[in-house]
This record gives sequence, C-alpha cells and structure tokens, in this order.
Amino acid sequence: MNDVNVIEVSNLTKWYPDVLAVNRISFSVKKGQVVGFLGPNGAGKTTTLKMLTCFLPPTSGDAWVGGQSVSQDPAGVRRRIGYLTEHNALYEEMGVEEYLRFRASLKGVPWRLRKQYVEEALESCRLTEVRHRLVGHLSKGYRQRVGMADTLVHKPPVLILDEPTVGLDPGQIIEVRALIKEVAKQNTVLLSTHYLAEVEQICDHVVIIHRGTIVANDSVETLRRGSDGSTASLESVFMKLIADTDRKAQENSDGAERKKSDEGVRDSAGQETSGDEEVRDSAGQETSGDEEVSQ
Amino acid sequence: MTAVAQGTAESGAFSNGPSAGGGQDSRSIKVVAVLAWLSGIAVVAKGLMLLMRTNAQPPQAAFLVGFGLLWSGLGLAIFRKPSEQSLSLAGLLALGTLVAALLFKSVWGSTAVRWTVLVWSLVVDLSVTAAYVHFVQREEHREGALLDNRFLRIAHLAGASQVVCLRNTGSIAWRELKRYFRAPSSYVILGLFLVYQGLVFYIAVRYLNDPNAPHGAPMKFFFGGPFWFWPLECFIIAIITMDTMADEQIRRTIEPMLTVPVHESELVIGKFLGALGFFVFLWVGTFMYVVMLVAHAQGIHPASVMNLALFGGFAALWLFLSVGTNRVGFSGVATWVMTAVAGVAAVTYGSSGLAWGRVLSLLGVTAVPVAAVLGRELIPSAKAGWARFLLGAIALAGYAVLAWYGYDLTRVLFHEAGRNAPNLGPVLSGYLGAVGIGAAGIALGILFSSLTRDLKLSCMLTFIVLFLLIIVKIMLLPEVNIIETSWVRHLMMHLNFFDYMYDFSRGIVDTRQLTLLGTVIVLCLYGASRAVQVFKGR
Repeated sequence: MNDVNVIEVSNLTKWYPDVLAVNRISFSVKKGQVVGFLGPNGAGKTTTLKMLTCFLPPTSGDAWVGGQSVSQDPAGVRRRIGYLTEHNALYEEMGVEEYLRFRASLKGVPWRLRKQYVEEALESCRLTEVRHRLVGHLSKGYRQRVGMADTLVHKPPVLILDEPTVGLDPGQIIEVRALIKEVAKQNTVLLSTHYLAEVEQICDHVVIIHRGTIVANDSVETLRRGSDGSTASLESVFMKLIADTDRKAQENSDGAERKKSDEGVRDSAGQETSGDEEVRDSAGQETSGDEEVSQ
Repeated sequence: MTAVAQGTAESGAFSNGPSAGGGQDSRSIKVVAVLAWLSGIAVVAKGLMLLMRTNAQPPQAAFLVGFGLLWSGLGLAIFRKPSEQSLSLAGLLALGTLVAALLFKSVWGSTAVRWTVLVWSLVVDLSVTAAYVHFVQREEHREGALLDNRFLRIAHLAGASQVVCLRNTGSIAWRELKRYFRAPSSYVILGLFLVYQGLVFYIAVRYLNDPNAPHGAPMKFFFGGPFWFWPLECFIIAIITMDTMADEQIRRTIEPMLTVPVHESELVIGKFLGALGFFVFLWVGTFMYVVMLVAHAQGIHPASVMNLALFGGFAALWLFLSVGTNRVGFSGVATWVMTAVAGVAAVTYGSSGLAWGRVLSLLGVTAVPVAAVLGRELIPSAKAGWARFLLGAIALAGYAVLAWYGYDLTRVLFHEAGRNAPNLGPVLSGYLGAVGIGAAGIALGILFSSLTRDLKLSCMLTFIVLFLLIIVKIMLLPEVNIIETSWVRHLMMHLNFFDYMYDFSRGIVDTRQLTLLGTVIVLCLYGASRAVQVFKGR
C-alpha cells in the first residue's frame, strides 16, 4: 500500500452566516484507505465533504485532494473525485444509461471511451436490466445504485460518499455495502455515515467529528481497544467520545458565560451562538491535543 | 492513479497563489493591468474636464468618471492578483465599452474621443482575453483539456471571457431541451401557444379583409403593430424560464452538477440555449401561417395545407402519448390509427386537385432519420429499435395516405408570381425579432430564476420587467410624457422593445438593436452565473 496522502485537510474552517460549522479540522487519508467519517447530525460532516468536493469554498484553511488544492484548483479536484451527494439528487426524467452518459461527458470522459465506461459502471452496479428505465420510475435502492454508478463512471481515484445507505431497506443496505467494499479494493474512499456497523465492516480507519471539530482520528482497532487494553464496541466508544465533548462544551460554555459578563458580548448574532463558538474553539484545542497523543 | 501518486507530501508547493508561478505569463497580464489602469485614469480625467467646462453636462461626466474608476480599479485588482474572475470581468467590461461606444454617440464629447474609446476597448478586450487564455491554460496545463480546442480559443478571443468554458455547454443544453420535451405540460403549453397565435393570425387576416382596413401584410400585423403580440411573448418567456435555475436548487441537483468539472457559466449558458431551443420550437409551428398565405396566393385552398399541419400534429401527439403514458407500443398504434383516419379525412374533405405527395415524400424521407434520432434521444425508456420503427412507420403511413396528390412545396414557397404572396424578407426578420427579443427575455428570466428559488416570484419578476420594457412606449408618448429628464428619455428610447419589434416586423434589422439585445443576454447570463456561485450552497 502506497503511503501517499490522497486527501489532506489542513485547518479547514467554514463559517455559515452566523454559525461555525467546521472549526479548523485537519486529517489525512492515505492512498487505498477506506476512511469512515462519523459524527452525529449537524456535526459538520456534510459541510466538510462539500468543501472537499469544491461545492462550497472554505472560509479559511485548505485541503488537497489528489494533490490539487481545493481553493486554488477546483476544476482539478473535481476531475479526480467521484462524489455521491447526501440526497443523491438525480435528473428524474432521464433514462439510467442516458443519465450516466451525460454525466460521463460532463466529467470529461473522452467520447470514444464513454460507451465502454458507462457499460462498466452499469455492470458493476448491476443496473443493466434497468438501463432503459427512467430514473424517476426506479425504487430507492436502484436510485442509490445509479448514484454509485455515477460516482464510478469516470473511474476517479478518490471516492467521497455522503451517507450512501441512508433510507434503504436492510437488503439494499447489504447490497450497497458490498458494492462499496468491491469498489474500495481499487479506490480510496471517504465514507460518511451514521451506521457504526457499516464502519466496522468496511472501513479500516475512522475520523469522528462532533460540533465542528475532530474528536477521534484512528484505526478502528486502536479506537476499540481503548487505553486500558480492553476491547469495547465501536458504538460505546463513539457514544463516550460524543458525551465527553458535550460535557467539555458544557463546562466551557459555563466558563464562557462567566467570561462574557466581563468582556461583553462578542458576537451580534446573539449570546447563545457567541457562547457556543468559544466552546467549539476550546474543544478544538482539546481534541487536537488528544489526536497527537493517539497518533 | 499516477497523477494522484504525486500526492500531497509536498502539499506546500500547491498552496502558492496562481500569480506566483510562470514569470512570462504574469508579466503579460501585468502589462494588461497597467494598460487598463492608465486608460481608466485617462477616462476619469476626461470626465473631470467635462465637468469643469462652462457648459457642463453632469450625466456624461458622471458616466465617464464612474466608468474610468471601474476600469482603473479593475486594473489594480488584476495587477495585485490576477484571477479568473477579475480577468473575465475586465474582458466583459471592455466588451461593454465597445458596445457603448457603438451605441451611444453623444456621451463621448466628440467623435474623435468616441473612436479612440472604440479602438482602445477593442485592443483591451483582445489583450485581456489573450491574457485570460494564458492564465487559464497555465492553470489547466496538467490536464490540457480546457483550451486545446482551436475553435474555443478563437471564440474566446472574439469576445466575452465567460464564454470560454463551452466544453460542457452543448451536453447541458441538449439535456435541458429534452427536459422540456419530456414534461407533458410542455405539450399543453405548445398547444395553447398555437391556439393563441392562430387566433391572432385569424384576427389579422379578417381585419385586413375589411375594405376600410389600412393597407398591410398579414404577417406584419401578426408580429409587430398591435399590442396582441406582447402579452403572450412576455408570459411564455416567464413560464419557460421560471424553473430553469430554481428547479436545480429545489431538486438539489445543483450539487452533483457543480461538483463535476463544470463551470457555473457553462451551466447557465446551457440552460439558456435549452430554453431558447424550446422557445424557437414554439414559434416553428406558426410558420404554417406563412405557408398558408403563400398557398393562398398560389390559388391553393388553405385547407389542404392543414394536411401538413395534421401530419406534424399527430407526430407530436405520438410523442406526447409515449412520454405521458410511457407505453410506447400502445401509443404508437393509437397514433398510427389516428393519423390514418385523419389523413383519409383530410384527403376527402380537403379541396381536391391539390397534391401534396412530393411534399410529403420529402417529409417522409426526412422523417425517418429524424425519427431514429428522436426515438433514441427522446424516449429512453423505449426499446429503441421499436421506437424508431414506429416513428418511421408513422412517417411512411402519412406519406402513403397523402401521396395521392402531388405538389411541389419548394415551387410553392419560392415561386415568384402571385400578387398577394407575402414577402419573405420581413417575415423572416419578424421571426428574428420574436426570437431575438425572446432570447433577451429568456436571459432575464434565467437571471431571476437564479436569484430566487421561488417559482412564482421569478415568473412575476420576469413578466413585469419585460412588460415594463414595452410599456416604455406608452410612457414616452407625448400625451403621457412621464419622463422629462432628457438623457433618461434618450436611454429609454433605446430600451423600447415595442419599437424593436415594430421595426423587425417591417423588415428593418438594426444592428444597434441586435447589439443591445446581445448585451442584455450577456450581462444577464453573467449575472446569473455569479448568482449561482453565491447562492448554490444555500
């Protein structure tokens, strides 16, 4: 396995008008790795992925995907990634094969190779029998497969999948997971998900994000082993990390409340958010310390 | 894979700004920047001189000063850090200057100044675009994909820098056009459009048949003069464009679209071309009236022309049924039967002695390849072979039924005799006007659609703004005379779409009007692509 960082995130920060969604996160993904990107809802997962795929510009910091900078060369990054969006929005009035051809042409697959690439994507996602049907007439499981075929069609070196199994029935979940496993043999995958079992099955490395900061960044085994050598389930480790962060946040917000009464309100957006931000700041520092220890 | 293997181990190297690398390119860009800055200062100076004269003309001076400041600011920005945005903005501004110099004679103080501005803006436009090409090329040289096409380079040098990214525009436009044809509502819109236009045409012909009516050709009344042209034109534009960009936002498809190597401007231009294609398709049906007039001038009963209309109408019906029901076999057979019945009826009740065989053989022959393409592209759910076979069968059936009568359409259309035959020049310029103003309206609609995701709001905005550009005509009437400031009046007179159409319907094609329509299109699409950049994440 090559030791090159395919995704490198450095101090990436995103401010929405008055919310700090992602706060100076840094992590990296090595070539050939399958990395699970975990976190509760609203943790900043999707925002991070949107920045990595150049959909949103970062407020500060930068990330490099396949050697290209997200802020300097969006076109270069976009050419190197396959991205399955959170909602897997597809053009419903198009046929499956037609949609994939359209996407392949946008992704710069040369005309001569297009037919072959589309054929391969259809086969690997087992879509050949529905190739002529309209996307809008397909079941959710099939749509998800169309979305996967779309991410694979230009054979990108990096796959970024945002909650690929959400809303599917158990059978479909197993199918999509098998597909991801298959794909992961040849590609580098960054996979955002809610399902911890999925991570245990598929991923060899985990990045956990909460309240916009990274609270854990380690291999699955190390994370489960814990400091005292006993093996815990990933679920309990995850819950403990989240609870710890929340507790720290609570303590800091109490501290911040007290501090604020001395310094006055920092942010016009309101006291709540203002307190929250400071909490996140300090939580970020805490966890970056943790990270160094674990590495 | 190998490209990735270079990796981010030396990621620091990638964090350099674009201005840092490539000495020669940035030097040429800097020369352009200094040129823009200096000339901006010169224009400001000219404006101030105008202001200090005894017979000062504040609007002109303000225009020049603002203009010059914009230029010099942009020059400084490019000098500091050339970016795709600043360069393309400079290119557009130079193009705008060029158009302004062409359009407005009085603003520049003297003819010499105007010509200087003209030449200068041309030079700056060319050098800015050249610099832009260098810039983009350097940015993309690893891939070498963007500007290796000679045509793109020429297209780029010729004008607006934003238009450079035309790679994907074609496929986006084609997809957009198909989107219209796959929505059953489009066929309803098409039908109602033709009902309204047919009524207008009927009124025009009836009116002109009155002995006391003024002298004039029917198509002139159809396009230009009276007010009836406008409500539908404005409304249909608002209807077609209201969901162009908003739909992507609502369905969230904007995210997969803008995370592949597609520039916002490509998306916007593609959408524009798709909507324009549908708009043109709406108008194509009305060409039937011209054919009827020509046929009438030849002594042919217009009813037989209806055969032709029926033929096209039933092909459309078939498409509609197959898209609407998604059952190709059923709709194909149903339409085949209906076409046959209608064909027999048309032959029986149409005026005899008229033969459309050659026309239809012409149509029949062209219909087969067209049908093949349509069968594959428009009906993806179909087994393509069947679709093509059925479409071809319909074309041939129409041909077989109506081939009893023979007449050469080409001879009808281009025969020079016939006193009442419409002069094709003004008719064509009328169509040019309808489509040209339509294109400007569509660009406007796309701009509004990209600003809000509320369909009703963007529809209303488009309609009102377009209608205002026509109401201007009334505002400028001597009896009303709302606007008293002379230069505003002057400006409004240039922006009066009503008079544009009046000219077009009489065969007057004014390049100034075309330039202005083009400018509206470019500016609106530019604004729309900026709006998409800003609002896409919301």
